[in-house]
Amino acid sequence: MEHLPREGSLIEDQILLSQAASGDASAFEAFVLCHREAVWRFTRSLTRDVGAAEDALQETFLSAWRSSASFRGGGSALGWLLSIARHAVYRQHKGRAGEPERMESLAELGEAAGWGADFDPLDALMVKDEVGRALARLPVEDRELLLLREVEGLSNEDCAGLLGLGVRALKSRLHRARLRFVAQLRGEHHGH
Amino acid sequence: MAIEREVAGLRCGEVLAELSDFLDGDMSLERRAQVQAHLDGCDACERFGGAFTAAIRALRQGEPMPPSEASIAFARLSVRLENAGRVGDPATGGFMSGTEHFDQAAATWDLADRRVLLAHAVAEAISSRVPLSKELNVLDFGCGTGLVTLELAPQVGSMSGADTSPGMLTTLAGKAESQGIPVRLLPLTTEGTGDLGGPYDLIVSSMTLHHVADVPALFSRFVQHLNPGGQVALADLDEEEGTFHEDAAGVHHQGFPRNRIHDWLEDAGFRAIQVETATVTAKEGKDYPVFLATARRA
Repeated sequence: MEHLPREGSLIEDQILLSQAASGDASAFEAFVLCHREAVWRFTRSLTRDVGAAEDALQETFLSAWRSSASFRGGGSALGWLLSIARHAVYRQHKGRAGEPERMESLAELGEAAGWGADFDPLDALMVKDEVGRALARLPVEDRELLLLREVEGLSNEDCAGLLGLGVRALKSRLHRARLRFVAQLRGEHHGH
Repeated sequence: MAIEREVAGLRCGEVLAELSDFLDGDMSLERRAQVQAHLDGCDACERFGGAFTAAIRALRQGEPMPPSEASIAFARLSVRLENAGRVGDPATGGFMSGTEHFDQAAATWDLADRRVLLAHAVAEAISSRVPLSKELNVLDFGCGTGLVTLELAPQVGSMSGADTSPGMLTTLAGKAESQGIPVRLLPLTTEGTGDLGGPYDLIVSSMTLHHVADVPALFSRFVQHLNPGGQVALADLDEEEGTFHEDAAGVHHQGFPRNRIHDWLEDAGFRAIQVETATVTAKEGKDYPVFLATARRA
């Protein structure tokens, strides 16, 4: 189910949101039903706390309802929603966004992920929940990027726009986040 | 340990730097062939590249969120949005944000939140006292927006929901569709008449009996829609002083004494009758016990 098209096409989303903007609550409800799973997955993974995730989920859709007229269809509606969700999460943890990235060299990151080591992290993938646990231990900025790009399947361009980065910078950060994720998976497997 | 070999004109470090582009297909065909040639000729990079790819693929497949957590979160979201919808709409700018909204919605919010948790507790009590299986044909009488219906549906063979409110049934239809759970909807008249379908192996009902004027007649009706040996699992309030409902419209009973429920079930032809506490719901500092009556059609 890698990068399957999400429920609800872009055009459908745009129609629903424009109807919502003119006060059609049932159109907005249909929009919510299409996307609530993705927003929940995102806020739940980003916050680690059920209550905070629920608050962010509600804030996201309330805010989307209020600003449904402002969706212009430049990118995907899911990207737009997750951008709102991200702000809702960060409002709860002020100062978390924009932390400077730690700049280990790629070789250091690679080695932590098992580059050149004699191991096979494939074993770790056979064990239930290890992917989720490895993801949960990452710094929040790596986690959100991997959630947006890998779990929700947004494009590099959508992710870059959402995070306020250029595509080049986004790709560099994504690569580093992926290496840190593999390192966590490896640590998980080795019980560190 | 860093590896720095040169294979196919590329150093290991260069391959490490480009693994994401390689995985995403974000490079020229020529470059791709060159990286592939390095991987083919360098065991260490091939092993690491394979592990890296497998790890990212596993991440893309994701892991399902706990369904009970999600269903509670979605129920609360619906309630919050319903409240918001009543407060105003975006076109007129009548929407209140933040604490203003919360203050105004707090009363209904608390009530609705409690309703979600109560439905969850009732569904758990039913599944712990009645052996559910994929062979069962089940009816939820007075299903409302399906808080109990949708929690039980995945554990049984087929689920039908009957209710007098078309609005609630519409909401249930939307939730059922989005969750991919088939539920047959049975609209009833305001008097509660209408075809209940069946025959069923189990009829459940949560917080509905007190809205029904003639409960003994309803129990006799249940018998007609049950297979021989079919069961009922019915939850409602113990007898209370009338403080539970602020609005008494449509409320025919202020809860029930348990022995009365027992006798009515017996008179209707049910056997193996048990009436036990399912949960306790609190409201404005007062506890209201909720019973679950289970019985089997003779």
